[in-house]
Amino acid sequence: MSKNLSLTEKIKKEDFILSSEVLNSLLQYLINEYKLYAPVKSEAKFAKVDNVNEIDLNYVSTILPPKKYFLPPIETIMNIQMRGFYSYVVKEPEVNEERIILFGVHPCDLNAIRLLDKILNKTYPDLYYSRKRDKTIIIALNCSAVDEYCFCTTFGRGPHAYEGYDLLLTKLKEGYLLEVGSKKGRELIKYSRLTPSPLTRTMKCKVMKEKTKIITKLEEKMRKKRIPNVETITEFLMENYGHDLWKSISERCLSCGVCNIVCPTCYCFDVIDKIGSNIKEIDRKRIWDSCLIPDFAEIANGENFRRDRESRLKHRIYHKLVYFFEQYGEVGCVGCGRCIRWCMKRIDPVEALKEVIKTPALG
Amino acid sequence: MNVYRPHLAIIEKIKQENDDTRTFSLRFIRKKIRDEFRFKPGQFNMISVFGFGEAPFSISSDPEIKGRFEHTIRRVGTLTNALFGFDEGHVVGVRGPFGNGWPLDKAKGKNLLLIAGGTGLISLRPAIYHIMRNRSEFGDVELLYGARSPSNLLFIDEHNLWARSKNFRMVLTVEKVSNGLKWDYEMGVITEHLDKIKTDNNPIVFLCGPEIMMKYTLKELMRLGFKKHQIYLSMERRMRCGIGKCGHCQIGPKYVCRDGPVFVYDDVENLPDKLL
Repeated sequence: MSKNLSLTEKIKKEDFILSSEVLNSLLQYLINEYKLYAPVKSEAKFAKVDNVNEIDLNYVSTILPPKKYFLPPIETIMNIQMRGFYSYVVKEPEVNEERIILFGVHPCDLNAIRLLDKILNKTYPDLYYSRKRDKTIIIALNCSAVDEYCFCTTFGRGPHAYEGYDLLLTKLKEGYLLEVGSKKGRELIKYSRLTPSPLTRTMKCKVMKEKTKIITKLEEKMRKKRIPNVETITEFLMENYGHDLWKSISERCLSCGVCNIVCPTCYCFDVIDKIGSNIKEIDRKRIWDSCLIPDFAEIANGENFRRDRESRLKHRIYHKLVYFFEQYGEVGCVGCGRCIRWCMKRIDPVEALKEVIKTPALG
Repeated sequence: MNVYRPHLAIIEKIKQENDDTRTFSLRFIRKKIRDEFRFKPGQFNMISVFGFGEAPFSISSDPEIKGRFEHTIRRVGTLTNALFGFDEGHVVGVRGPFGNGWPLDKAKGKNLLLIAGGTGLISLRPAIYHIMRNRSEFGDVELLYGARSPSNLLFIDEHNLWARSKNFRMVLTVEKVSNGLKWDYEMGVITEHLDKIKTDNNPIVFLCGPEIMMKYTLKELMRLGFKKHQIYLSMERRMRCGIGKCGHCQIGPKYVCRDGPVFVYDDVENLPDKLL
């Protein structure tokens, strides 16, 4: 939003311009010294990279967001060993101490990680999340392209990053701008023994102008996908909970939960006990869960508080835009477009919202 | 500290309350955990039956008793079914307590009306113990307790003690009585007996039971002129973590595990996805 212009002025003394060659040697250094995870060319996903050439610097979006590295789709949280009859030893799984680098995270996913930190790292810290999160260095990559599903500008969360990164790259006409966002990022540059060109005053001006131009161009591309009056969306949705449109959209929903799976801010999980084949060991696992799936809100006696598709579909949209605001002081959608991009029935919450806004319910 | 770690607790005693409900008296094996464990009436624990998973259960015992605690559990699903196969001496996992509990401090110096439907009495029992122990802090207390039939009643051997105590009145009702069985108390559902409430002076109401029972009770209470801000109720939802992270227990913006399970009626009245 309007934040964009003022924030590009933040280019500091310790920010550099990297040529593609220097960037490649930085990446090579990271591959040698750390475990590097980045978007890859072979598939639309983040994966471990062993060769600089595998990295896709021009990707728009991956199927799964990088949250999978902190909150994996399935993860053992407790190991229970049976010792004799009805005697147990409860063990926490061993912790992998390795530091990882998450490279090429786009602003939407970066914001999503910031939101997940709010949920999982506060009050009762979730050790399984925070251990992995604390050991990760994030090198974000500002977008240089968007597709027809992207709508990060709606919530002011892109197409450029403002916070939450250790290092941030922006692709320029020639080379990349590298901005330092944290102590971890600063140290990484120091240890890599890079010799990037320092920015002169004139170059700074030029870079700022170029960055602003990229932002404006991308914002223009996403204009069609902009939700109007987003400042009052929370209040508006509260008043339109009973809008007829929700029912008609939900009639198309398959309750498959793919929107939850691909969402970078969906964090709900189920916990299951898996008994090993020797019947002596039990792995307690947590697995991603989906609020769109019928039994999500079912309790032991069979009562289900979101039995119909409409209430489940609405729960997801309202959680992101209304409840999240009440719980954490900001909306829980980052505009990555994944839930639209991957919906098998082409349900588009953004278009739905625009439609509801166009035809508000009376009273 | 890992909030997901269940602590081993031994089942010291099992008491059959009725056909499908038992009270399990538990004791943490580790002394440190045992000594540090405190709970407030209305709070719950996550109980693990290893191999079957974990679920939330209200604590049903006297909060003043240290070193052990009780869970009164009805056999309704896979996990409870497995638990009912356990004998005294067997071991479960427990983590907690979680949730806010009944706001007994708000009821100090006031009359108190407790309304329990079926297993709803389980969550209220620690509150009753608290009231009995600190009798002078509260005004008149009335318990309206309804069950399906006499054989479904819970904590029968304590009813006399409650009913006999000073300024404590108990209205007991069942929906049906099998032929030939002697029944000296009320008949019908709870809502039919709300007009028998004697307590006046704006009592604080604690309400717990199946959501559909709470729905009609609230409706009747509203008709009788009670105010929403004086009614507290305990909600039940699916839970996997107990600490506001797994997402299952959300009702609108509220996490039942973290913001509840006890809510003032004012705060839940307009929430979606509930029977109330």
